[in-house]
Amino acid sequence: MIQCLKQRLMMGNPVRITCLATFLCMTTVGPTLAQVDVAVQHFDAGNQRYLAGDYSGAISAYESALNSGYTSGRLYYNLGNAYFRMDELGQAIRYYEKAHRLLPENRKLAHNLRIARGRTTGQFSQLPAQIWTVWWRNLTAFMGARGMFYSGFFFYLIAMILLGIRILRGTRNGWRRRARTVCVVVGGVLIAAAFTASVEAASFRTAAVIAEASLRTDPNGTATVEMVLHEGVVVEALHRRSGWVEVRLPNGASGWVRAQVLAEI
Amino acid sequence: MSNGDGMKEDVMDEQGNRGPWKRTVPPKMPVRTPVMFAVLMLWIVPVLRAQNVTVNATVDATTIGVKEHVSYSIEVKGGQLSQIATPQPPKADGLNVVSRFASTSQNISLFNGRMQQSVSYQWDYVPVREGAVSIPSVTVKVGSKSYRTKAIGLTVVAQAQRPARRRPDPFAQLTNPFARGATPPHDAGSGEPDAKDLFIRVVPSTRSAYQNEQVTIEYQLFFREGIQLRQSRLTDSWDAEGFWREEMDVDTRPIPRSVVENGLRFNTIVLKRAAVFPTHPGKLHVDPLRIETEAVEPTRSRDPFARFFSSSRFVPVDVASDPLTIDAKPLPAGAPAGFNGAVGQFQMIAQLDRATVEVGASVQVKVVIRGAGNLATLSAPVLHTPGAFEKYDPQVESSIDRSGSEIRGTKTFTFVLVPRSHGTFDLPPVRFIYFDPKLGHYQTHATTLPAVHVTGDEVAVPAASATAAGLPVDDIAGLLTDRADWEALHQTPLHESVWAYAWLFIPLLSLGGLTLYHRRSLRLATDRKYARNRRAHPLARKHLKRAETLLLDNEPRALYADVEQAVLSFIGNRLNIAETGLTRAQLDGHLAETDVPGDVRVRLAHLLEECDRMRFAPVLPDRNTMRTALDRAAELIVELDGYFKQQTATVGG
Repeated sequence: MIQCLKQRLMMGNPVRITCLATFLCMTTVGPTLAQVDVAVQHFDAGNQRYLAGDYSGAISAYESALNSGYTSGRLYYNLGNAYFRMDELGQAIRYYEKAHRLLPENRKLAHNLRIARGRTTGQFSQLPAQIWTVWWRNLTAFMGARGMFYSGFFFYLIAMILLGIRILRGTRNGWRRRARTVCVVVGGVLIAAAFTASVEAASFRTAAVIAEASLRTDPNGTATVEMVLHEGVVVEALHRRSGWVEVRLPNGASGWVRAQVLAEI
Repeated sequence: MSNGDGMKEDVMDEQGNRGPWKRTVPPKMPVRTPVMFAVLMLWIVPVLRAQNVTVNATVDATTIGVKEHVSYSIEVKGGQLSQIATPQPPKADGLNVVSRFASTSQNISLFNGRMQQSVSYQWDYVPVREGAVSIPSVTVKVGSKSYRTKAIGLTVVAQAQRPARRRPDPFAQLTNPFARGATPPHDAGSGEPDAKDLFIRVVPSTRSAYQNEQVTIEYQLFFREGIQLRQSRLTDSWDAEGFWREEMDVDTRPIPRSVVENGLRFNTIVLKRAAVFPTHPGKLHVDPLRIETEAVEPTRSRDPFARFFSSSRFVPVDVASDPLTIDAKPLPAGAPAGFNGAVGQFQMIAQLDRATVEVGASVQVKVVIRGAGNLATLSAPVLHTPGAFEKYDPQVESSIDRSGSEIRGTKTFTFVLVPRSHGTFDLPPVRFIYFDPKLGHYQTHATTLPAVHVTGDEVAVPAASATAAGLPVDDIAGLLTDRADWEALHQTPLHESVWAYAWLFIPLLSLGGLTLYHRRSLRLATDRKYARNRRAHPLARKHLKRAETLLLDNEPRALYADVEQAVLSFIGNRLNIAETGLTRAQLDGHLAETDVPGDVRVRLAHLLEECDRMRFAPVLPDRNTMRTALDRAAELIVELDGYFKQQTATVGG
């Protein structure tokens, strides 16, 4: 009994709790920082090789950075540049599009993407998008699902704090009530948008054509060829079936292409 | 009389040896001395021997009246008279030969530097009945070789239905003793020639072609010997809708060619030659070619004096070819990627002007496409260049030969490339794909270019080629070297992340805890029994912990005081009674009310008694006794807590 009581008395030692927390931080955050350092080293090496004109070497270094498990919009951008210099427009556009998701406002990236698209053959007209679709895409590109979640969580936390003050003080206050309502609404909308964007990003797949391909009416090699897709066309992947992928082109047309000519964005 | 544009001319001799577009005076052979004549003959004989021999049979009309006669001629060109065995008139069914002896004529001419000799044998036939008759073929022996003429079909009609006929003019030679090429008097003829004697024939190279395939169309003017033409010109514009057209060269001063059509001798010249390329599939129509001319036909009279004094004149005549329809077929499916509509037979050469170049300097790729086909509409082959190169639109030079039977030529595309960064770059092969209509399938020519070594440092983008934002106009911007903003590559989607939901629930849980805490605080402040009950355990633990310390310090009086205080404060707080000043009997009574068993109460009384005794005992207890008292107090507290809980549950239930 006495021992039981003693253990219960020992549980609340703040020094031990602090040590435990520090240990956990060291074991989890430490390796993460080390891995990012490895990625940065490969990134710098790739930049040096690129500037020396060794574009294939630069691509290898950038891909090593990706293999370390970390990435950045700048890494994708530089990888796109290296592929562009190697005249692999499909891969260049693929990585520019990847970078665009992380650096939606970068002017250099927008410029390079325009130049690369201009070099492609057989460009497609783009179906006009609804205005709210454009807004939604801009918002998700600007904030990202996590950005929206963190922003929403901030408002949500403020609302919870105001509610806690209300509970502790036991008195009603007009401005606190209005601020609480606003924070709940804004936070709720942002968090809902964040989860929506996350689900959409997980289910919506785009891909770049990295080699010339025939768009066929059915997923087999003898089906009618509707058109020839050139390197660099960005398509939406709809379905996958035994080595074939049904894709939708920017102009709304759809068909089947072999999976190996597509690279996921 | 010549008008200078090549489409108007007005004179022709009766033999038709000069076309309406050319006035040619054949060279005469002035035989002034026997020596010169001998020299000429020494030259002529071997030339004549070397000529090809042709044998043609002609009639002067294919439709005659039953009371007329028809002249049948066999002309031997190119052979020596001494080697020609005189042919016999063929026996014709429905015709009788008037005389078996042929009237023979011989002609030697120097034409465009070529000596030409011909011998003609002529017989007259009279019909014996109406209807279709024919003159069979005849074998003519020239030297050791035999030549056969073609059979000629004739139609014998009633005399009243006979068409107007021309008769050979035996005095035509009188106007010019050198015959061929002489200029007859303009008003030497009479009457308008009919459509069978003067017509334009359209001759396409094919009537069925693929889209963009070259089709050459030739318009040939046919006119019977003896017909003279003048003031000839095109009447309206010739068009070929649905075709890309290329005019081809024809002789502006053509020399008529003598041909035999259905046994009749015609002169023919080429009026126009064009190459057309169907721009889309379907039945495409080409307009007929129309000319206006003035024609005169020699008099029909066999009387040389009547002919000489005749008042025949030139009459205007419109002549048009038949319209032409070309069946344009679509190109076969399965065109390789990169095919841009070239149809024909081509060759391609691609060259790089230098393999080493400085950054910012230019290098040229010259692509030469040579062959027959739609060169005019041929677009530049696609040249894929590495991204480090600026590529400018190619300079295009064409050299097209229109003089042959089809459009041929060369088209040169010169691409200028400017490298913007250094390194060694492999240029992909230049590919040119065309459809060969003769082979019926697509052909691909590919030329591999050598690698380009670009030296020097990467130059800054000059102001003239940079945007206002400092970005290159036709090249990609440089690297981004900032190391910030790294993130995990394979991040769990937000909606699948447990942490996202945890972060949302933690504030809610905290709020719930805050509410409970607030309520507990309020109760502790307002409910004394509850407050004491909640304080019972901590207070007892506090006294026992201090007693443990006193045991180690060997302080028995203070230890027993804390043990007693621990037990009494626990009982007082749990039962909400004032433990200070409580007698043992009162304490036992409260415990009995809460159904604490008697043996527990006895043990409690013994412990409290021991505590009182030891606090004032002269002899201090040993350590084991103190330990036992401490353990007994802790056990009693636990046991009493159990009975108090049972009592609370019983009362609450």
